[in-house]
Amino acid sequence: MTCQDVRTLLPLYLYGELDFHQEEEFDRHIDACSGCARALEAERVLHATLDGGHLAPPPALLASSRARLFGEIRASELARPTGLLDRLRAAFSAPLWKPAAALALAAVGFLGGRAVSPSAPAAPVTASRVRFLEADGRGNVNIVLEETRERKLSGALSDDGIRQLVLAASREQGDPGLRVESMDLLRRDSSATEVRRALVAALVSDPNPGVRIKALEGLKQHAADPEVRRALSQVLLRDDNSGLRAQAIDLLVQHKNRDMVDMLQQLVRSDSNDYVQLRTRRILAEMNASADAF
Amino acid sequence: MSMGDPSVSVAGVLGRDSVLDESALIRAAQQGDQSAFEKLVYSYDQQVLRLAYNLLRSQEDARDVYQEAFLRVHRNLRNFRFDCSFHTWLYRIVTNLCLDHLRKRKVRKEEPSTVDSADGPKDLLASAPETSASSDPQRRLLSAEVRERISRTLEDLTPRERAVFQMRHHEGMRLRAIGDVLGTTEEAAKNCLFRATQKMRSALGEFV
Ligand SMILES: [Zn+2]
Repeated sequence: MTCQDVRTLLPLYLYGELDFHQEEEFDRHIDACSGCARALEAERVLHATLDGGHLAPPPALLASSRARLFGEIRASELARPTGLLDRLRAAFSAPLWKPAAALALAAVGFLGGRAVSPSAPAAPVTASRVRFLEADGRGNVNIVLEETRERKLSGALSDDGIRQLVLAASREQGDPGLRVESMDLLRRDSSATEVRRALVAALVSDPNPGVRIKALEGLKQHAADPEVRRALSQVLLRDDNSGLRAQAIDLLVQHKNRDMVDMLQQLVRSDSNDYVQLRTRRILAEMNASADAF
Repeated sequence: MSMGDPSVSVAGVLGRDSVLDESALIRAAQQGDQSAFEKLVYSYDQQVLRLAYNLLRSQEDARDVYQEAFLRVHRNLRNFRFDCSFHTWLYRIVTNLCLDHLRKRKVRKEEPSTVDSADGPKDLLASAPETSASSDPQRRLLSAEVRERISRTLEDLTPRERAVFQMRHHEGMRLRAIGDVLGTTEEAAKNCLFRATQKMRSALGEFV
């Protein structure tokens, strides 16, 4: 191996990318040639200097990337039609409500847990939550802390600011108790469209049955509203809580129309709950449609 | 994985058991198991973000590549047939997206560093947290001038040279694996790395 060969192979040698035979020859040459040994040392310095060009992504960048990714995936999963929903959608030929913003935050919550910090005189931090952590490889840990400062507000629910906060609380994924409380407030006055939409959203997609029951109570006076009827139909066809299904059918039949027939016939074939079965068959009989014809 | 140790490969870090665990995870995700998919994402996404951020040097662009790459994985995972490692498949997607970004920039003649920081490209490297440079007490701290020079030289590399250099120097991937990711031979990857280090040497020669 000549000096020229060695100089050419310097970087590959440092990256450990020479084959066994080449590396042997390279080492032998370096041992014998002080000029090339010096060139190798210079190359090592360059190699190490280049490490400094590396950028460590800010921890918040990872957290926000994850939130955005899983927010979009969940939103698209929810929007995707499945068997029964598909038919419902066809029956009502209007877009179903799509849950949106609230999802993003939930995706970040891989580390929940609240810690109440005692007294910090200047700016009292009352709650904090670890949103991200990673080891930096040098024995330290990088942590992104989300801190909450407590502030008391009071006002009427008709006040827009207060209502927005209650609406936000009704989407707080990690806290079903808070969602039940906010639903309980919202159901008392559901005249505003955005309140009705929040109730509808909770009714069809909240995982907690207590929240869904409150939402349904708040929608009772809107049983004629098409959007509410779509939501009630969804509850009837896919909610696993039979109490909710029973209430949903009672509300739906307050305003009978022909569009319901397909859905009711489907219900007769699929629902295992006696009350729902009985009620459905009776309504269909009243509407003069056969329970079996399809 | 520390960038200070270029011999570390992903497979080496994961180990044989983890590779088995991984294929179980992939199969579960292919069946629609969302939590398996999330685990799969979490086991790779820090590397993916680091690669994209270092290649593009813009948080916005890195986040876009992250999003698009994992959405593609989510959409196409069912078609993944284990013909190559998941790592290779994922990195193909990520590097292709990054190369597209870099090529578009070349056409637009944009200064990518300005995307990231309002203070301009000069501050980009200087304000970045110290990485492995401080892990070696022998190694002197880089002056802002050297950092800026490295940053500018990276802009002069072709997108492929830059990708190969990043994956070899900072991610510690073997040239053979890099060739697989870029759909080329180990030899071609070696030539890219070679040209990249030559450009670096002539740009930084006076400093080192
Ligand atoms: Zn020599």
